[in-house]
Parts: sequence; C-alpha cells; structure tokens
Amino acid sequence: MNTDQRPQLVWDLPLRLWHWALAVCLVGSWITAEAGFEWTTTHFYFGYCALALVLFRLGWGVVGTVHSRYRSFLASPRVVTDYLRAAGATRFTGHNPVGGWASLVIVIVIGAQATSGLFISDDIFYAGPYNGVVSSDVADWLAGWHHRLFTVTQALVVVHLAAVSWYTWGRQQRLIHAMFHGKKTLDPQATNLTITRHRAGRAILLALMAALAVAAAVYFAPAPAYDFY
Amino acid sequence: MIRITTIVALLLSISTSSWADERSEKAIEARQGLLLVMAQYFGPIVGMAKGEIPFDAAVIEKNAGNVAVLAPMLADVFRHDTSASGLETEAKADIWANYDDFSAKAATAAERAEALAMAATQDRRATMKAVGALGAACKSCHDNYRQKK
Repeated sequence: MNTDQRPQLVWDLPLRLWHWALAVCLVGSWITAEAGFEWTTTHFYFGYCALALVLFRLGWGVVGTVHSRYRSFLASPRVVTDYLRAAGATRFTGHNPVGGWASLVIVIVIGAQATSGLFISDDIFYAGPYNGVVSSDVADWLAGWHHRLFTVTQALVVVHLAAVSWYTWGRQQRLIHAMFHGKKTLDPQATNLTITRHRAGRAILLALMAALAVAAAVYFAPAPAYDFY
Repeated sequence: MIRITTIVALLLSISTSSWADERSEKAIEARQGLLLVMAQYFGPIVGMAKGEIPFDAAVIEKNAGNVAVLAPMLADVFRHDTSASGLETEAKADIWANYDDFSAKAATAAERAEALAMAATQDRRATMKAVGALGAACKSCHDNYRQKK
C-alpha cells in the first residue's frame, strides 16, 4: 500500500521517448505526404521509423517495465465496461482499461499503415521497397488502405488528444504531464505498483533490433526492374 | 403491331448498347496501351534521375523524344467518356465531369514532355529538372483522376 500523495514514477523513460518519437513520425509523415513529391523520400524514412517504433512497442509490451507490459493493462471486457459505466472515475496506476486497448489499437493501425506503404507506388517516381513483389492490383488495393488508414489514424489521434485533455483538466489526472516526467499522483486508497528502474539497457537493445529488422527489410528488398527499349 | 415495335425497339437498343460498349472497350484499350508505352519509355529516365540505373544520355534522349511524341495523344485517347459503360477502368468519372481541367493538365504534360526532349539534347542538369517537372505533371492527374482501389 502506497499512501504517499507525491507523484510516483509510473512510465519508464523508454516508453516516454517512444511515445514522442511516434508523435514526431506521425506529424512528419503527414507533412511530407502533403508537401509534394520532392518530399517522398523523407516520407519513406518517417514510415520506416514508424515501423521500427511499432516493432519496439510490441517488444516493450513483453520485456518493458510493468506499466508498459500488455499483460498489465489489457483488461477483460468486463473490466472495460465497468470502467466505462463509472465514467472513468476509478484511477489506475498505469493505463486505464480503455486507454490500454486504445494504445494497442493505435500501434496496430500505424503498423498496418506503415507496412502497406512498403508495397505501394505513386505511379510515377517513387515505389516502396516491396512494390515489385506484388501485382499492380494488389499495390493499388494497399494504396487505398494506406490512405484510408491515415484517416483512421487521424480520428484515433483526435480521440486520444480529447481523452488525455479530459483526464488532465476535467478529471484532474495529469496524464499529459505524466507522459513528460513519467510521474502520476496516485490514488492513496489503492494498491499502486510504481517503478524504480527504466530498463534502459534492454530498451536500447530492443530499439537496435527493431531498427535493424526494418533496415534489413528495406536494404535486402529486390531492386526495381526497368523496361528498356 | 405493338409487339413488332417492341421487338424492333429491343433489337435496336441491344445493337446500340453493344456498339457503345465496343467503342468504350476500344477507348479503354487505347488509353491503357498509350500509358503503358509512355511508362516504359519514361521509367528508365526516372530510374536514372534517381540514380538507380547508370546514366545514359543516349537512352534519355531517345526515350524523352518518344515520350514527347506520345504525350499529346493523352487528351485524344481520353476524350470518349466511358464512365457510364460499366466497364472496368481506373479512370474516374471526374475526368469527364471536369474535362477542361483534365485536358489542361494533359496539355501541361505534353508541353513539359516537349521541354524534356529539348533538354535531353543539351545538358544533364536541365534534363533532370525537366524530368521532375514532367513527373509532377503526370502526378497531378494520377492523384486526382486515377482510381485507387
């Protein structure tokens, strides 16, 4: 039982860095997608980074600190409905039951979007590294989803921003601040499992593995074929 | 008498509809053929511009010349409206709803293809710039008028 009212460390540093890096990737890929075809190469790099970040998060959900782990925050449907019925009044140390699922959905949607980007082309200049391995019908179908999933991502981001703002200013749970310094003021009545270490070594190793996996996938992609006359 | 008229009307409608379909079919084949050939000539130029294949001034000059010959045909092969034909095509109905805009974009592509062919006979830097300009012109239609599934 922790009855201390001072903010306690909940989010490890790798998770917070990951969160803001993903935010940068989303904004960056949005801007470079709208900015015209000269920015397409930069858009590709943002996409590769997003993909590596998704891999990192999935791994960190298994080997990270307690509140980063999926096992600690993916709640049963019953817990989710109870939480919704209480209109978010119950405080959770890490993710609340709805936020936990939302975080997984966001990661999966972004992962699917980044992956679809590997297979598509703009018809003229640029093609993802795996555009050549699928038929143009499949590439077009994936291009459609690449655009549709961005609309889904935008909607998810709007809901995410609305939710954290509501908690921060409506419910006085300073979730936005917590994503910067990692600390939350916890419910003194509850059993709070806080963290003392960041597992930085593991995080660096996992980040390197995720980055290498994406880099290798891009590097070893088949070279594009050009028809000559 | 009524029956005969009905039959005649029916036959007429069948024959006109199949005639119309055949025309649309040919229009679609012509469009796809033209764009395929253009892509095959333009593709290596793009590959060289991106450094993915070795630069070869002779290939660029020849291919750019052919693209410049083909590009003015774009507006012609797209003139026939196939949007009501029910045939499978990636050409959006918007092409014919905004045909003035579409043909203006096609004309820009043709002008830039001509400029590329000119530049290709001169220097490498101007050629690369002209490749970008033509690609952007292509893209302006592909983004707005080509259906992605």
